[in-house]
Amino acid sequence: MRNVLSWIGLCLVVLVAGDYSHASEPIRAIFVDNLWPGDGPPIANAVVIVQAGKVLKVGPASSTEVPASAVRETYPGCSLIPGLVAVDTSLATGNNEEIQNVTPDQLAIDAFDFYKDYQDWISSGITTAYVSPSRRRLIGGQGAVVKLAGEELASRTLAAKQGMQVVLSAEALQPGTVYEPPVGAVSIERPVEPTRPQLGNSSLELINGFRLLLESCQSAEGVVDSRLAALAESLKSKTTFRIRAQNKSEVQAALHLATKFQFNWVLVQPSTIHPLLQDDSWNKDQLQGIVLRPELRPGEIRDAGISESDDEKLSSWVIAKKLVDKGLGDKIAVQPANDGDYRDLLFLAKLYLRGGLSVEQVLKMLTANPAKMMGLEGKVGTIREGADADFVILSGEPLRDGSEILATYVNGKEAFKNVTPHSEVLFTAGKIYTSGGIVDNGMVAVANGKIIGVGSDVTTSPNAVRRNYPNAVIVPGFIDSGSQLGIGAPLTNPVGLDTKLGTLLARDDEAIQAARKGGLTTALLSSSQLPSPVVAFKLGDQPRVIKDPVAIRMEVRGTVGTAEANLKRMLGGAKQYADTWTKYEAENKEYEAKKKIYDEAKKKYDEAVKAAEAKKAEEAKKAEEAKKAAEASGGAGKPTSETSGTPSPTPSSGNTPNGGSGTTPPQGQPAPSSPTPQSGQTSEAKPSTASATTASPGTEPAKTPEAELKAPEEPKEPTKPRFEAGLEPYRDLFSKKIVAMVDIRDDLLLDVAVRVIQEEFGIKMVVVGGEVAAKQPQILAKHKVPVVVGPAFSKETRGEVSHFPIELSANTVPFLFQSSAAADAAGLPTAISYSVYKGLGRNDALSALSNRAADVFQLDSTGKIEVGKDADMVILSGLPFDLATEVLAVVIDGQVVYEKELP
Amino acid sequence: MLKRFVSKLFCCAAVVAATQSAAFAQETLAITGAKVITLAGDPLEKGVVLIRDGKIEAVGTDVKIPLEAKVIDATGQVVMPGFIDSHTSEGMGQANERNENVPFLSVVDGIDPVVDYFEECRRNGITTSAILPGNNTMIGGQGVVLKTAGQYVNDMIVKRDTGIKISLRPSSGSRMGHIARLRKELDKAKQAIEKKKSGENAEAKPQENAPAQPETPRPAEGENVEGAPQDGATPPAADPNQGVDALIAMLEGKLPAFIYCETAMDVTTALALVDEYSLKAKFVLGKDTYKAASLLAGRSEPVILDPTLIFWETDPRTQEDKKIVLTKVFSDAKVPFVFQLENSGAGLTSAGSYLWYQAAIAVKHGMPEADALKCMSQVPAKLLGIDEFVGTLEAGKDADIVILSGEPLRLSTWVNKTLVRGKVVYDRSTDTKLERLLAPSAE
Repeated sequence: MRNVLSWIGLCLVVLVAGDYSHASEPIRAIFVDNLWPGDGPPIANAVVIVQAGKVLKVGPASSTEVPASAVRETYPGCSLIPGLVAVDTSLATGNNEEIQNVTPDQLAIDAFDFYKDYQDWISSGITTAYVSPSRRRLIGGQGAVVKLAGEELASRTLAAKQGMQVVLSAEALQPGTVYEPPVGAVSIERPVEPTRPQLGNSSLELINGFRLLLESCQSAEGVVDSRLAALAESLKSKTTFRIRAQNKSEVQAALHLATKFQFNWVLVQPSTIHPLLQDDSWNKDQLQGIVLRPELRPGEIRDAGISESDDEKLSSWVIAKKLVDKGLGDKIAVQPANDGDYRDLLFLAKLYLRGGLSVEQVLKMLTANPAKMMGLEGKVGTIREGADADFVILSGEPLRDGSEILATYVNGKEAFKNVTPHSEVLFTAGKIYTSGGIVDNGMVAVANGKIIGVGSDVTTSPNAVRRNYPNAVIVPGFIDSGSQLGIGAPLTNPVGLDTKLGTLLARDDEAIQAARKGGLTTALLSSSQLPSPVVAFKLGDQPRVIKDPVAIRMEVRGTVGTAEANLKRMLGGAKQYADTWTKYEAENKEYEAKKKIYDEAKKKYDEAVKAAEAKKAEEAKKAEEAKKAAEASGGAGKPTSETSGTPSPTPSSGNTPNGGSGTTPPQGQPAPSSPTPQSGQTSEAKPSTASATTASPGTEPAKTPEAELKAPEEPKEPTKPRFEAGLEPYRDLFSKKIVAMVDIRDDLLLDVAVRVIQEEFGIKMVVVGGEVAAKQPQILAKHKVPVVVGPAFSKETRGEVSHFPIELSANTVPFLFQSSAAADAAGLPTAISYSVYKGLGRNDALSALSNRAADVFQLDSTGKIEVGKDADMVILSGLPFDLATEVLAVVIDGQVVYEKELP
Repeated sequence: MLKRFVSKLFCCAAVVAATQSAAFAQETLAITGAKVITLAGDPLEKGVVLIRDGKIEAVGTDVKIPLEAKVIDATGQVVMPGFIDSHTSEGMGQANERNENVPFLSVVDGIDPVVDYFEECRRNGITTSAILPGNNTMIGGQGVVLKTAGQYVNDMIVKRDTGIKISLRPSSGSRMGHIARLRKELDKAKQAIEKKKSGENAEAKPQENAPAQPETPRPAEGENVEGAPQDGATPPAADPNQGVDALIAMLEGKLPAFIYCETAMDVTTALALVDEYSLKAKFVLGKDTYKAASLLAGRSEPVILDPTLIFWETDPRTQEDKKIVLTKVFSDAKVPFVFQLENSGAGLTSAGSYLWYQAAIAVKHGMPEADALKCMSQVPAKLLGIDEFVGTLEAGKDADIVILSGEPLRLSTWVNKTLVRGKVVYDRSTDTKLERLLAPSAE
């Protein structure tokens, strides 16, 4: 008995193994957020299991067993829909129309090129297509259904003969009244093929012609004309007739003929469906489908003109709505205006949402319905067990704006993958902490490392990648105001103030990678030996320095007296150094301005001198001539000598620059100051020299040549002070470009430090030491000195717990946070959550860790979620500083540097 | 100048004619001292080919040369079977490229033996040529296999029922129309066969006075040419199947179909037709068909490659250029093939019009040399169904022989002599045209 049982067991094992063993091709499991099976409601968090080109299983990931051997592919945030089915295309190549109007024996499959590349179609999500024969002839022939990708040609033909194409609308009119057979084709059977008249000069002729053709096919004597054999055959074999009928009479005729001759039919592109709605006696089973055409083209203004008062002409979406109401929703398929528009089929289909149809219903019109219409139900158009594994992966919900096709699978193989470089990423979340307040259900667009859009509605480029974090919270990247991150180990050596710590940062530091898992995106680094320079950098894979130095960190210690003296001495020396440079810079700036003016004046002066000399020479010549003339003519020369002689009376005074005194200087400056060449260089003399130099060239053209001849004096270049690298950072400190981070361990020193550093020396300071600050918050509040709190955030004294941030906040002292740690810096937000739990304002805490820190340290590019800032963000599963919240992803400069792995 | 040239040509023709008429006299010829590539076995160094009455009597290294034999000393040269052109539309005044549906026409009626093509063939070592209607029709008519030397067509014919040319390239109207019309013709023939069968059955029992159906399709050999005009003279009512006869023969497997496939998609259509109508087919391929090479693997249908063996294609999306070598694609797909000649074998200055150049391309791209040599005569002979007479150097076969100046696939090798049925029909030493072409320009 046991033997038998074990036998059975063995058999079962073999069977099970056999079930999976024909897997030379691996089983693949594709996980998506939403799966639309094509004929039913979407399945959330679904998986589709694919093997050998077929769908093995499909269902919710939670309840669907995935074979252990399956290769898993996950598309987070994405939707999966069945491969779209193009209901009518002109993919038959060489489709120049035949002259004849009735060619039922022509097969579109003959003209379909399997070797052509249909990537355009595949990338638009279309995997199956109906290939139409001529659409401009009464009976154009028979269509075919093909797959647009796939290795095996034989399996790509889904139906070689599908649908007899009949056109009753105006397109089939005027094929050439008389059919003239090609000349020259001699045949013994029929040496000269006769010309013959053709059907199709009027709509009436087409409809009646079609009726006659059908009648002759059903006549008792059998088919007379061999050309109609194919038509008779399709009538007999219940082939579907695809009848293109537009207006009321055509639709009426199609319905009538279908009823009379009992054939299955598809109504193509009707502009009215009154005949179908008016009367309910017709057989609905015979009607296989209705192909509707949206009256629009993507991105084009369509000028439909003023239509003739055709009340019965309806918009296609109205028709769709009416059909759905009538219970014929399962029969609708959508065909765009031309083959090219299939690229945007998903967009065009949105038109049908207008009628109030659901996304599910509209999607069905692009997938399951056309498949069913062509007799391919269960093979394509739906995702269900046993169907072909043809599907499309969308970056978002189908028919949602911005949803993009990421990949297309045909027979389980990836036939298209979107490899367009994505320069833009769109993060969406349930809550976003922006600089302008909290945005619910908002998005952040990021490109080139910067935030380019924030809000509940953001303009995005068509190929932006979407990263959807529904219910998540996006906050600015955290700034650690004091850490030991960056160089692989804590920095404990004394560091000269001239050291650029930014140059020491190491790439791929494990501590950095660990720290940013907590949400830190920016950190400050300094040596523990003070004073030390401080650098601010981003925690990317390659650390990026954003300010170096960002501060000087120093310590105030000793007794109150010594501390003050030491501080004054240190800062005094530095101040002196900085001042000499400040002075020099001011002077140098002035010098450069003056030099410029001087150069211009000098140029003009040289020219003037030249001109004056030339004039003088001329005048001398003239005078000589005049003299000669005077000599010649005696005393008559007196008046001329008066005019030409004007310069002659003044030469004695004109030699000194003061000779310009005749031309009162506009400023009324004391004249002597300007001529003294050397004295004017000191700062006190500034205005006078400047005015003198500017005045003289300015007045010269109107004045006498003597004024011009005053040479401008060259300004003197100021001497450069001695350069001391160690004192250099103080210059930025005194000019308030950077701040002083002052470590204070004794609360008595707080007052001294603030008084000396901030008041006396005018330095922007930040106190480091939460405990000290919390004891004397009033001093800090008065001077608005920020405090860096951490790594301790609270202290218990005599059973009473003091929470430093809360104390500071209560006293309106701005505070920041530091971890003073390396890899453990990741725990900073969690540590703060205790303070928040104890009552610290969440937004206050967040601000301390982001925008306030950025403001204090003057890091303009980060700390806020705002257009133009660096894309440094933390995506949290819930509210910040909640112990229940975890970090889902961290973004630094637009790069997702950390992402929590999905279970 | 021109006149002189023409008169010289006439002289040449006269000489050729004279030798030709003497061909029927008993004659023994021995080619000695050459390397003989028989293609039936290993090449023979210093072999002897003994020819009597236009047939090969013996091939070997120790063949005794009879006293009366005229000896051609070919020491240091290479002797091979005459080359075979497997598919061409030359040799006629004009090939049929216009009439769509004329299965009853035969190329034989259009052959002009003095057309340049045959002269070029002899110069290039081609001794046998399959001539078929062009590629621009639907059912273009029947082809013929000819020797490339002869004064009258009837002297040249090797095989009359070579096959019917069918082209899948749409000649007029749409592509699907073209295929539909072709199918209709084939269906008509099929129905005729069925009708005939049922007619025969009926005939056997009740009555004898039914209109005389032809028992068998008209034998392609023999009276066809002479018979056709006579039939035409009698009222056509006598034989309603007359026009379809050739197609019937084709469907019954008596006549092969040479199906021209211009594109890869034509190959799928052709294969479907072959299977549907069980045709005995040979595929004449265009360049684009390389994409369908895998479909032809494992099929019994022989394949004739496009004359352009190497070409470049640009990918429409990536704009990348890709070099296609047809011989390599088909070798890799394990599809045996034979060559066609560029410019249909005419044009002295085009390398592709030399059969050995085509073979050399194949060798360069990986084909073993021995196989490439076979593709010049032995394989085409089989393809055309004339391997009984030609294709190898073996006793009993036609003495169609090429004597080459050196190894066959060398660029510097020339055809020194070409023999058809044991007669020297080309001799480079008397080829004044070639001499003039190659002479340093004196004028």
